[in-house]
Amino acid sequence: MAYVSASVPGKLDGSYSIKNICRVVGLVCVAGFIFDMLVLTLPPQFGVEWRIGVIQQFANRSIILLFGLALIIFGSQGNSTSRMRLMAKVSMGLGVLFFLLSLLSVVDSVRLSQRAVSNISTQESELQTQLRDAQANPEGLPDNVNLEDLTQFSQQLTAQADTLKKNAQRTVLKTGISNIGNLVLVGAGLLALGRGGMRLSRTKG
Amino acid sequence: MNWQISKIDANGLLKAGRNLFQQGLRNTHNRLVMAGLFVGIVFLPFWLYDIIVGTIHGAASLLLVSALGLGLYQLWLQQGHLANLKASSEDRWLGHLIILAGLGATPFCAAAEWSQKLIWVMILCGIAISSWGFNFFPKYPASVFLIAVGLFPQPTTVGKAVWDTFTPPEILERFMAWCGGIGLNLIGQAASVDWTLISLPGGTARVDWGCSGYDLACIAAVTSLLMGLFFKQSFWKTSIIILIGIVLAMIANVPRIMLMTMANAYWGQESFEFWHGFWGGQIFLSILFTVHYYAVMAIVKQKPTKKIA
Repeated sequence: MAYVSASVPGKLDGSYSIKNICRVVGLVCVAGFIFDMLVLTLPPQFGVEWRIGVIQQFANRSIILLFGLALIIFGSQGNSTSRMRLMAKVSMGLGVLFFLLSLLSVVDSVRLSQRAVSNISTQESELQTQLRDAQANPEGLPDNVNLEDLTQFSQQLTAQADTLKKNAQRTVLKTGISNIGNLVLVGAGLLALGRGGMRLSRTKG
Repeated sequence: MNWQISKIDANGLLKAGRNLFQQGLRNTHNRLVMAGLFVGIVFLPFWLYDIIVGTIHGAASLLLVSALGLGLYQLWLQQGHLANLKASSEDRWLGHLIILAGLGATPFCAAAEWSQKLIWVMILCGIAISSWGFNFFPKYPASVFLIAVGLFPQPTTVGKAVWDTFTPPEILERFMAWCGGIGLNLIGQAASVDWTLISLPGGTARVDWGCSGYDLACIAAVTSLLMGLFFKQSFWKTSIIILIGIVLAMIANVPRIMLMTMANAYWGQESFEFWHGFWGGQIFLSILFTVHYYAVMAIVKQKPTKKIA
């Protein structure tokens, strides 16, 4: 006759309860996010392009952080009031940080857009100067190019530069708006999560 | 009577201000609130300067100030209810954290007006959350919205940037040029439209962003919102009023474009500059808002239909 050990429900519940699983998954999500961000940010370069790229990656991955923190807070419910409170405060702090990062993202998007437009303008004006020089010295022109052609080139150059400027602005702004939207949304989510977590820790512990 | 009310309000404001200052340094919360308000007071002269200069140059800054004023006035009327609102410990903690973050970011955001305003909106949110709790926002949505609109930095620039990013190139300018061309043909002019250019036998005019009607529609939308809130209309009626404002602004822009094209083609540069400039714009705005006012009043005076049980 085989001996069947008596089950210890409390101990089993403690070890393999859904809250423990949530805590493990939450920790993995948060640790994975931190690891990803360290890989992306190191070594830091601090340029505008680098910052925009990092913030974009940060914003895209931030939902993992939100999810992980939510699981940790849920997993701490009823087990550890102090941990739950700490994680709630961390969540709120991160939420505020996300809002500040969205401000930085606005600044960087505007700056990058202005820089892109300025670069295109500089190149355009250099080419226009060359065209004007060529117009001023028609004897140096090749046989198959006349002054009318140069005027047409100049107009086409202006039109192309305008299109390029608009495209550059559009691309930068799209990235910026996407980043800001993500950061603000996840930031608000983190604040709400932290607030809810603190309330839970106060009422249930 | 009105004078008495404003006198009482002014006295009340002074008294409240004095009390706030006296109580300002009593505890951590009050100190943080005072520090947050101080940031706004420091930035205020720059904003006032921009409002005055913008208004002189024809910007609709006063409209935003009106929105802010109306929002603050609505809150002022609720001061009795506000005094009873208490922030929970987590809300107070969160509010203080937001104020501290705003104070910390202030030196980095002081260079431009838009960043000053954003950081102060953040600080104001912190003050509201730590003083009255997060429930303050769903409880007073109209006031919160109006204050946010009033403090929104450079709405026309942001609006243009967002519009340009998410719509096909020059779509509004092309649409207005197309409408203007149809209008000119209807009155017997031989107008042809190419992209944003309207050509008449006497000359060609280009519909630029400033003439696309976007700014006019934005002004009409904000004015409609303010009127809807001022006359205490329901959400749906306010939405209809806003929609009417936008549609009227777009419709009113078509004869404006027709007139400017004809002025450019037939009446000379001086005439074009007149209609394109400040006075021409004011004449069209006056006509637009007169029509808009009567349309709004017709909706406001409309009695709700009663259901018969």
